[in-house]
Amino acid sequence: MSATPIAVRRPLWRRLIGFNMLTGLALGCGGWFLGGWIGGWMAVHHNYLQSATSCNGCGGTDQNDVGIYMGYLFAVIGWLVGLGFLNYPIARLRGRPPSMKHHETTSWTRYFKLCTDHKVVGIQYLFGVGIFFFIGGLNAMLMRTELLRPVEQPWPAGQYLTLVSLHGTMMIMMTSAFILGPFGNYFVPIMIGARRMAFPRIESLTFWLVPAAGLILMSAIAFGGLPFGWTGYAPLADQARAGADAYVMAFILISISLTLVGLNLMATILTMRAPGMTWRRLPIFVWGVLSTSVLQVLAAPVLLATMTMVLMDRATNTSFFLASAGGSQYLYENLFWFFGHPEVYILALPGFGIVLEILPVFARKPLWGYPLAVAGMVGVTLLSFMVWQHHLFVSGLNAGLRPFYMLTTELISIPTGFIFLNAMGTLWRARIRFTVPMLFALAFFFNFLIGGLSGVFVSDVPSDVTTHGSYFVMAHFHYTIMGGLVFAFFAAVYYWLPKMLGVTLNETLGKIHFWLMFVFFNLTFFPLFAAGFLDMPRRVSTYAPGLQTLNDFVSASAFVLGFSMLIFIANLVWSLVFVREPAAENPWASRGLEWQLPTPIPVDNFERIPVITNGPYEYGVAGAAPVAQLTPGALPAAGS
Amino acid sequence: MASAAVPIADEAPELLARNIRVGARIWAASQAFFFMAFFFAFLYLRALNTNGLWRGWPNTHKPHPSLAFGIVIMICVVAGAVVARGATLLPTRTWRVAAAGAAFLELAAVGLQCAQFSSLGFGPTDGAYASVFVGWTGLFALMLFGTVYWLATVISDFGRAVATPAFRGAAVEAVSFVLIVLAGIEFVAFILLYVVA
Amino acid sequence: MTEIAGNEIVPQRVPHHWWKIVGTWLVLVAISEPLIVLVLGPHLPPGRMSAEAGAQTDANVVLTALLVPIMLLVWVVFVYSFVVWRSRDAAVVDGPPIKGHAGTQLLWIVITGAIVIALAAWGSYTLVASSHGAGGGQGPNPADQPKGASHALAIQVIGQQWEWTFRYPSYGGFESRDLAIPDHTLVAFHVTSLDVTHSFWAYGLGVKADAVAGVDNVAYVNARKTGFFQIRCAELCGLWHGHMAKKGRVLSFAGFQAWAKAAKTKNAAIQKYLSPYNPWYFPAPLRRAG
Repeated sequence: MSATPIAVRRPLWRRLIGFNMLTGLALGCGGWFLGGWIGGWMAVHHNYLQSATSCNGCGGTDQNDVGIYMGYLFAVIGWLVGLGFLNYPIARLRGRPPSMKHHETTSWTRYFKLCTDHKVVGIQYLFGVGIFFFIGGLNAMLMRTELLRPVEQPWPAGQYLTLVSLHGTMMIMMTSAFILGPFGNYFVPIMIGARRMAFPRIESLTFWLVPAAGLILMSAIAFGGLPFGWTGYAPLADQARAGADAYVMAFILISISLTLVGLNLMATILTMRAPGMTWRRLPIFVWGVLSTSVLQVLAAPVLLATMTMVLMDRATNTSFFLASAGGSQYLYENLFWFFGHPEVYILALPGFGIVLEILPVFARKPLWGYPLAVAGMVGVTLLSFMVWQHHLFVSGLNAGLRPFYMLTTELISIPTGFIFLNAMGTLWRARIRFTVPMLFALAFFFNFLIGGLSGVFVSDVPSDVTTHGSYFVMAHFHYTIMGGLVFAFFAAVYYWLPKMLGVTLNETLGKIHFWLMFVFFNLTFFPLFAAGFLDMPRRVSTYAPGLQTLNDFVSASAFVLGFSMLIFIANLVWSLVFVREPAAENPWASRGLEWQLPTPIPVDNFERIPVITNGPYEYGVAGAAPVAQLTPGALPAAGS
Repeated sequence: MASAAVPIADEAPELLARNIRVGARIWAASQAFFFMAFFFAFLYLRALNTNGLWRGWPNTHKPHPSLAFGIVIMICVVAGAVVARGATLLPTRTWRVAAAGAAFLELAAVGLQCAQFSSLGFGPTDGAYASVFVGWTGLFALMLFGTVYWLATVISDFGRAVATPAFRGAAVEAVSFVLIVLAGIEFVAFILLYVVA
Repeated sequence: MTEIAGNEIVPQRVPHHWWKIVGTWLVLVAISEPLIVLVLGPHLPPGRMSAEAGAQTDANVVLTALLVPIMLLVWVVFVYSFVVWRSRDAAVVDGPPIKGHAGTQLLWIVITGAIVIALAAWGSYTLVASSHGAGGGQGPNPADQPKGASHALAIQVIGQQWEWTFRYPSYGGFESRDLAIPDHTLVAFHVTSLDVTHSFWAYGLGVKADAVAGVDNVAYVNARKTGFFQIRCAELCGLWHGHMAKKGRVLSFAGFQAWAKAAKTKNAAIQKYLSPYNPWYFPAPLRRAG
């Protein structure tokens, strides 16, 4: 009888030494001090690297922006080195790169390291981005507390503006990957029959940039705050104190992360579909991810360039955006919104993909009008680059072009409207089951309808003169982004968590969460259309006294909305930690390829590359072939 | 940039090659849009000429970068890209030499750009043109340096027994495609920054 | 293993559902449209204090009247589906395999396309031809100028952190913290800023124009009624953005003349400290930064 060698488990403290998050934090802190010192040296020795003390017409501050930027830069480098991201490039340069085989497949510590398993990256995103979503939500609760009375109580004006800006930046930038991060990473390779993503290390990099950006953004609180909302208009951004440097640095990191996520998902979908996965059999969620990736890959670099220009304006006194020195505020607005409008479609499109993916499963019917849904997503993607000046209708910019942008903005509502026809067709004569994911998916349509139709108001220039910069616009984009993306996120969580974590979420708590969230979301944001019509501008801590009742009602509803999120967290903790009821392999009886795999999904997803034999929406078709052959007879041919 | 290593068992060997090929094209598109922002900034600020300060401050000499530097840098970038692209048409045993030549040319361009910065005669505070010039050429040099690093890793691949010829060919093709797009951007930058000004 | 339901493609059931849906929808539209046009309409902003505000109010009423029926139709279809086609089986039973219908899709595309293009055309007509910019800022070379724009009464609106001031070039260029305009006169607001970007929003007049440093943003207004209107800042400009609020007045022409004379006298003491009237201002002398 041979003695099986027992692997000796090293003690915990020993296992913590290595390339992981702790090392990243430690080296990041060291990098901050090193960079600050280098930046200080640079500022002393180069006379144009002064702070913006003599910036014409924009006040001045005495901070050393170069020192701050270098500090952040070296902190991020230290963070990435500590996580182990330089190991592979250096090893490759020496001619000895490591294999792509995952070294750690079972330990819980792999969630805190560079891990090339896309499923691990998906879970990392779920919690990593989720944390920033909740921080942003907390900021919103604090904002609504301020708005209970039309005076600067309990937060002074500067703190309130920082709350507003952090809420906006957290929600839009940090959660740009709210769906693509967790669910795109986790499920796209599985849904197309692949065993990995195209560039696994880059995927891990895109995740680890997110906490770095989040920490940098939150450090703005210590550096004088952010006075300019999420849009960061120059010259207010040039004038701001050092917190703006944190904003610039965080946006630089996020734009890199967004570009690389889009690149990776696009390359994966284009090159790694299994044999038999024709474009017509591609799940609609994957189409949504593909459309979003196109936007990310093209629009996020423009944000990166814009932020480097702001960086140079602040640190080296260039004059990109300062009119008194040859620049133009309009340059910032054009560049920012050229990114900014595709950004909001980056937020919305994955939501379309999720709800159209979920609807057939719980209506037990094929997705009605699949080519139309694809055409809708492609149409939105193409048109979203041609509408950005609708944010600038009253700015004095290119007034003669306003009819053109009004037309393109109105036109984009046509492909957006297709998904409603898809939904109505899928529900037609269906057998609807009102599970928690289905409830969230249906609420998406209710909310996005209001959001989309209010968008028609703001796309009409005369009406936009009434509502631009007011709470009406705020209500419009909260209905589309929160009512859309966030509801779709929760639909995806309740739908896919049984497969991702192997645990069933409590259905009663889920329904309480849904109803509280849905009812109080609408009670919070519908009155804000009225607030905008009644002359309340955005981002203010004071308002006309006659609006106090309305604002109090909205704040109270918002507090209950926030409370509903706590119910979700309670459900998560209760189901994951205490009850831990293992989920069935296919609790929703879905035809999706991901549901044909065991739970938990094996490390390399499939034993053999499957051969796709049918589409995933063939409900009700008599004698329909299964979606794939998981163990095909012969070895698969290369490519599809 | 690319994660090319030992493939997973029973993965089609051309899959890595396909990944890099498509990834390089997407990356090149991203780079093009990044520099398009500076392209737009140049044309827009020049057209607006706010306060008459496009070309610099009154009563000081106008920012005037050295045309010689500009031409040589542009030629190095374009030549390096052409050599790298041409490498894919040559027999495989000459790839390594051609790629090394391309890397040398691009690195020379980066070095020359740094040299130009140290003897520029004006700085980022000298008006809108100077701002766009410094921003565009500086960031371009940075991007080029990163691409040269990638090219160096591709060259080091030739010494490895594990990388298949198909993968090596795809890697050279991919990095040369990105270099061609960067060369195009540099050519446009040269025309705008030195000729149109 | 899901059970597949029996073949339910029975043609004569389709019109039966459709009649119920369309009928319910028509009843709801018949109730809501008069409410929107007659009850809500008069209260929709920004009111009728000026011609431009009137154009905006008309736009808001038409859009509400057009979009609410669309919303109601989608709601009726959804709610009908929830009620009639809810699964009543404990086991998971599939529905009929309907994948699409070309005619419905074509009809949807045509109808939504027509509505959208009609809205864009009508919006452009209102903006360019009938309301000449609808009170929005049009920049230094306005594209949509009303008749008599060259004789418009110019009033400069200067935004700064965190106050609005107004200069009246036709009255000697005096600067005042109060805004008054005459009624039934074409007024051109020349909006600019001394520092960061603000946005001049005169709610009752229906005027909104961004105040951008170095730019002369022109917005036209023709007031029809006298009274007060609220001025606010509509672009985040720093700490006291919400406090850049005051009231402006529309006076009769004679009343405006009297007011201007009195305001000029009141502000005469500071006149010698003001720089000459200019479409834009830069507070610091032009010099190189750093």
